[in-house]
Amino acid sequence: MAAPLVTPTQELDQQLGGPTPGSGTIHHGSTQATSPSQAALTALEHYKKKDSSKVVVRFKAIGNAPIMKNNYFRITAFNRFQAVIQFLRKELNWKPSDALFLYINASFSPAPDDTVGNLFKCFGTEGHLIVNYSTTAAWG
Amino acid sequence: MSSSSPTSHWRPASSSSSSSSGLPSSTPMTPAPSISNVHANSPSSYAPLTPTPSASIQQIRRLIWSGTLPISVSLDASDLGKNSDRSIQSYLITAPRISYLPLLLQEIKSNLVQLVLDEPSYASLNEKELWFEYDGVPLRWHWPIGLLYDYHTCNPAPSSVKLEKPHPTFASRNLRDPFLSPNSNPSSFLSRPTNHHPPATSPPPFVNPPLPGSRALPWNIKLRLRSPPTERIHSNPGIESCRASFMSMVKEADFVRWGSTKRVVNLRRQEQDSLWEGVLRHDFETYWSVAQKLLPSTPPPNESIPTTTTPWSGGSGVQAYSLGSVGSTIGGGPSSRAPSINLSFDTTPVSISTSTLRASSGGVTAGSSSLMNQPNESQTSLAASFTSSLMGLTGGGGGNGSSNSSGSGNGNLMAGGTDPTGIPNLISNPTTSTTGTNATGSISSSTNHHPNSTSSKSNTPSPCQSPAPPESQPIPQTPHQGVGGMRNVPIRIHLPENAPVFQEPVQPTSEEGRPITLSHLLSNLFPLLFPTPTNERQDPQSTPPPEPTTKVIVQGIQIPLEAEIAWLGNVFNFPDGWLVLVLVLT
Repeated sequence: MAAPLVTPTQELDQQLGGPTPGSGTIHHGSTQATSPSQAALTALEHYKKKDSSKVVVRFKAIGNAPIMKNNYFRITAFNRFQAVIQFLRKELNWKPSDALFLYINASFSPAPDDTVGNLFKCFGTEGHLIVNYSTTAAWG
Repeated sequence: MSSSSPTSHWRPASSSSSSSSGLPSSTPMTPAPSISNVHANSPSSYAPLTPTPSASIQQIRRLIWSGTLPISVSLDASDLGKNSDRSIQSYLITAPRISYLPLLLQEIKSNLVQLVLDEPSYASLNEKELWFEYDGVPLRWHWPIGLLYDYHTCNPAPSSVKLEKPHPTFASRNLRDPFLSPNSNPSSFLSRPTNHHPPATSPPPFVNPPLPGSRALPWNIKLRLRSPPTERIHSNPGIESCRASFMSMVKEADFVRWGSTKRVVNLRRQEQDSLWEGVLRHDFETYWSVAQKLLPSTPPPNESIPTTTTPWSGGSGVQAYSLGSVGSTIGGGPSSRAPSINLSFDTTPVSISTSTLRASSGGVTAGSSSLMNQPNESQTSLAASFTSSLMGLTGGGGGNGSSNSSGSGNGNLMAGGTDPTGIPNLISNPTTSTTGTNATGSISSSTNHHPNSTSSKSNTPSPCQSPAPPESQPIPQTPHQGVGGMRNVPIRIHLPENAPVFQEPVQPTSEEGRPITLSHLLSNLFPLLFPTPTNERQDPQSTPPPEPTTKVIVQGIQIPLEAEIAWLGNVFNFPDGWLVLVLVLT
């Protein structure tokens, strides 16, 4: 293979132990020279454990949204908020095309990959997480 | 001097995707502290830095804002039909770290997809089916690009999801997988699709694909055209959806900070739009004009942040930005530790060292907030005359001699007044500089205590330890409750290997009112990864400090554990308000 031209970036990358053009084998950058210690990996395993505690979610209807007979539900903490959305849709018999907007504390919509556990820790009140639901966008 | 004047000269060097620039003008950010990258810089027309604290924090914000990543986007052979032009390999784009993938889609579509696919295929392309992946792992639309890169390359998924047929790289096709030798063709640095025709000789021999986790740049990601794994991506590609998610994150951060979303909600519609506009157009001014209303008024870290007045010249090789902190004790030699962070941006060397002298005679604790705290807690018994530049002097003077030493007393200090809506302005208060000089006079009596602190105020690029003129003495700040009354820091912590994201209320100051550092926080949250630092009072000989097992990356930079989270949360946060830490096992 003909030696390719080396740009200044590539040159520096080489100096830093970065990828060499044309070699295809990319060296690790200096930050990843060693693999993590066993202790660190074990520690990580510990923190990877999912939170299995239960969070009580309290649904509150807004505007014209149908009110449910039972508004308190338990959900395991490690579930993403997405699960709450799906659950509510099912409870209300909502079709996928029906609009449904959910908010925490009448303030904001959580990111879809936020977990219920985290939301409860940050925004829970009186032992439960208040989830407002509406058929139209209420708080943006 | 008005802190706004320098800003008019500043333009982020690589603010837009570089479809018209010859070379990617950005510098890849590397986590290792000592690396600077050499780049041919685009000329910057930065004015010399003015040595005011608010300007220096602003400068840091701008640098973070202007950080970019060179990304190489390619298509997957399995998505291409018969009539696709496979000689086009990839498209290089320089993306701002604070931007989002959906914002790049349009450009990538017209410059790559449209050229590769034949017309009917392109016309029938369903935008909702598009998604990006790195090394087999789907990339979320609502994460900023810098976070995606840091997270996925520092902590590669141990088993990537292979959703397509095995890499069509080694078959005898013309398609050269960009993974093979991304940099082999110098023309590939042009952010134009490369109509690269393989050499007349045989296709390249089999080579190992890059090991996952390599932070090699450009970042090689793939744009996939169908079957998005929605349960892993969680949202859809549109720009509107991205905007909605951005605004939601802004509100969520606001709620975390203040206990309600009042601040965001009370912004005029146009102002709310400006936040997004700023991100969309990568325009710091537009964004910041509104964002500052949402942040607490942190005491300018410094009147003592010695911002060097090194002019930013384009074209120099090494760009290093060091942030060091120097602590010192009274009456003694400097017992300073200067952890420094080198940020590689495509700017010239600017070093900002912060001197942190904690004023802490008995009274000053409640609510004081130093921005780069000294690591050595035992030095808290500094005399009253020492005031930390970074600190919010608190307690309304509460018996704190230090606050008074600066003579110019508190009242007129800093941290900006409040804007008409009563929301405290974040720094950038031009008046501080004037009060600064007043304070200087009155602190003169304590200059004998300052030789160490001044050391960090030199005009040289070295992070610390050189004597500096005494003018820029720390100015005591107006009393603060916590950090400008902020309840919690909006912070998210990502652990490797898809461990659950940590998000919990994190207060900026401890119960005693001391600002919480990363070290405190992380050793409380993840004690197994961050063993409690040994008590400095112990003889260091007897107990060697534990080996650090984990490092913390924020905005692509490894941050020393002495950094204070409140400060980080105000300066190193993403535009959506969140401070995101990526923990990497070492």
